Amino acid sequence: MKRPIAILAMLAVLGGCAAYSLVDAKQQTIGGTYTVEPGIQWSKITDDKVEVWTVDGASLEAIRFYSGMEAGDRLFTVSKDVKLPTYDPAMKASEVMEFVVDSIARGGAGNVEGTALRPAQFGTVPGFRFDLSYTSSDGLWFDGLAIGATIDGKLHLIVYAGARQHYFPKYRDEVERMIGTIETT
Amino acid sequence: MTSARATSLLAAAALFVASCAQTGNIQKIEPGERPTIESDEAGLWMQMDRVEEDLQTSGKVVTDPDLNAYVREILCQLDTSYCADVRTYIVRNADFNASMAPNGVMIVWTGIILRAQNEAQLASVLGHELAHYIDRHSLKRWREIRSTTDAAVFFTFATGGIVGILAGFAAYDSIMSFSRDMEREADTRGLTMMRESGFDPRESAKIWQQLIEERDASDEPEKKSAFFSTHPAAKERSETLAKLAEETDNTGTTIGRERHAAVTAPFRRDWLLDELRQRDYGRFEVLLNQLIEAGMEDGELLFYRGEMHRLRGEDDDAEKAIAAYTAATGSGNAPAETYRSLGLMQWSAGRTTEARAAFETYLAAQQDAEDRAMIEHYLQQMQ
Amino acid sequence: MTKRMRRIARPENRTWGRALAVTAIVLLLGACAQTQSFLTSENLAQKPANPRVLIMPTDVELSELTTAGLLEPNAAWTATGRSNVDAALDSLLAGRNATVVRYDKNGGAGSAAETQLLKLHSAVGSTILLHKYLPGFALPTKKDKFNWSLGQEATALRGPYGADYALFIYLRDSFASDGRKALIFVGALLGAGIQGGRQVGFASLVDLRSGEIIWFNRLVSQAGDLREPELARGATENLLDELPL
Repeated sequence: MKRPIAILAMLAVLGGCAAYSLVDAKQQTIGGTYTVEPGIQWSKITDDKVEVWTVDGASLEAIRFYSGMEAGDRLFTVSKDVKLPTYDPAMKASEVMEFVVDSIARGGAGNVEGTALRPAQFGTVPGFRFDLSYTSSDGLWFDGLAIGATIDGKLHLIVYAGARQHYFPKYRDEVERMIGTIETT
Repeated sequence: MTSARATSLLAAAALFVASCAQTGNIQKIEPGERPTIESDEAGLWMQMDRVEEDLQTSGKVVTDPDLNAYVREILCQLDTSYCADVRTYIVRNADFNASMAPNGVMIVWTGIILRAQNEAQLASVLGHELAHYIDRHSLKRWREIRSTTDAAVFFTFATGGIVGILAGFAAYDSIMSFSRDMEREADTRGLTMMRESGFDPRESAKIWQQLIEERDASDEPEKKSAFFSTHPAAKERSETLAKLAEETDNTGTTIGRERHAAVTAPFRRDWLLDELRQRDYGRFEVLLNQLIEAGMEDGELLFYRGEMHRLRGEDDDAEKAIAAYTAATGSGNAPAETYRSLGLMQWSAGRTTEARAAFETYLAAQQDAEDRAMIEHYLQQMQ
Repeated sequence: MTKRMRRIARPENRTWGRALAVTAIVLLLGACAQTQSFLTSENLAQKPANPRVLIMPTDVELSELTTAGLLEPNAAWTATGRSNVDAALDSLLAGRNATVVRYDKNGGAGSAAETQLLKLHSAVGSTILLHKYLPGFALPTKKDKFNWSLGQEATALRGPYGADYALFIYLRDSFASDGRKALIFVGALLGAGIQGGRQVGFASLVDLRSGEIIWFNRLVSQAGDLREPELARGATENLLDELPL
């Protein structure tokens, strides 16, 4: 009786699923717009403007690489009944953080907070960084971090999030190191 | 094959009879009553006990003791005999909804408390939910669904259709909402409770009227709302309730506007933010106007009016946002973030002097601003 | 103001940190072999001669399958089933020279921390079911590996119980109603296979010294009946099949 609809959703996913592929520990190009150099192997699944990388499973930890987001784009989709915020190239860093935070909240998370918004280099491009925390829809605490920049009216954004216990800390150093390898092309 | 088909029809007929017999006559639950462990009702309780455990640790329950005490006090004023059987949970969700589980778990979404303008309006919601409990609507609904889906399977099967997995799933969706007749029954019992416990029953119709105004202003009025799809047409309901309320003399009844405003004041900002995140600007604007008219603190509300225009960003929204923020700052209880938003809008409009002044005011007012480094960076960029 | 419990129990959307519903995944595994277990690919710590095993609250639920295929939870069957499984666990673990201790929901040094630990376990459990049992979701980073952990925080459970391991048990059992049985019979006559009741479940063993999930098993069966002590013992035995204790 509990959560039967999830089965349907799963069946739908199974029907047309794209399999995970392996990301090797060498320079990777994201959406043709920037590169990063991972130091470990990741499993990757790709959607339109985002690559999701995980080692242990995306419900535990994942790094999401967005590239070339344009006006009207959403971070993700939930269902046609849930209207998510859309990106607008006129957004200042404060508003990009608001866009991310509000999207995660609309995605079903609770206690969503974006904190410590600050300037940061996205490769050689001036950008911004912030931290995240929220509870999943099941009440599990997550921490996250995000770095991004707007280049020629397009948003490039990297968001890493994982369960506060064990998983977020597990790859945090690797993610920080990888952020240091960003090169815009 | 013919004989098999005949057998199936026979079996179908037999089962149909069996399933019809199950629904039975369901009496209202007595205070303190618990179902016997062998019953189907006990199964529903068990299921909901599990849900309750999950809910308690979901991170979505508002635990503030004062707010919880306020909601419980209204519930217990409505009916002293059942109030010990009901556990109220205030859950962070922007939508207007509440729910009643068979085991006594009453969930009140913050979207309801935000929209209720006084104690009597909140009481009308709580009374309605309590009525679902007293009249055992969950059990009734479950038995109805079980027997109608059983019958449907027979019909499908006997007529040569495929008994699909999907039929079962479709049924689950309707299990979760009460029938319109049950909603009417709950409205009536709820109104009686209000009247007998001294709340002004006329407020019951008003809350529906407010909702109708919101829906009519929605950016997506055609969108199927969970609320409107499962309830008697809101207009009909509001009219019926208004008529019922006028049947007795209501002098001396409580509305309780000031107390409601005061109790909810510390939470209003969070709940408005939840609502704004839905990005239904038309509806949000009407809600703001309703709250302003109801006399809630206006600095916050004007700030959110500005936020609504800033996020919508159409036509003259930019100037309207600036006007709203400016009005908010003149009202005495505007949040410090008003200046940050004002700064962003002035900057976008190319008015850097005004933007600088606003950002500086924000930083002065918010000494521990999380985004201080970014705002200082903005100030440098503007130089 | 509808009874919208479902929306709270299962919010209408997936946060990107959301664990997939366990029930959903377990049910999808129906076509697989009866049990399939994984043992950690990490080095297994020396097993104590008389390990103390902390049994987490056994998550058992028994339901009736209605004619149309809805599950009606049954409280009496569940109570019987749970106590049968608990008794079977006691006797089976004693047979492996283990001492059984039971988790006390109201004890616990920091209950918020423990709650998070249980939630993490359930998220990891769903993740394992999804990525290890459903080939379409296999993670290349987990190929030939089984090395999920609950982290160092899990060792906090050791203290109050002096336990070496924590054992998590999840079981669902359903039985066809009379109407469903008739439907299955008629379906068979017409050559249509209709799903009857079935048993699904999983078990996991956490090393409380390291936080590693060192063993995981999944059970799917069309037979069995947790209401019967002997059959419940059989099911529990299957579930603990190849438990490294």
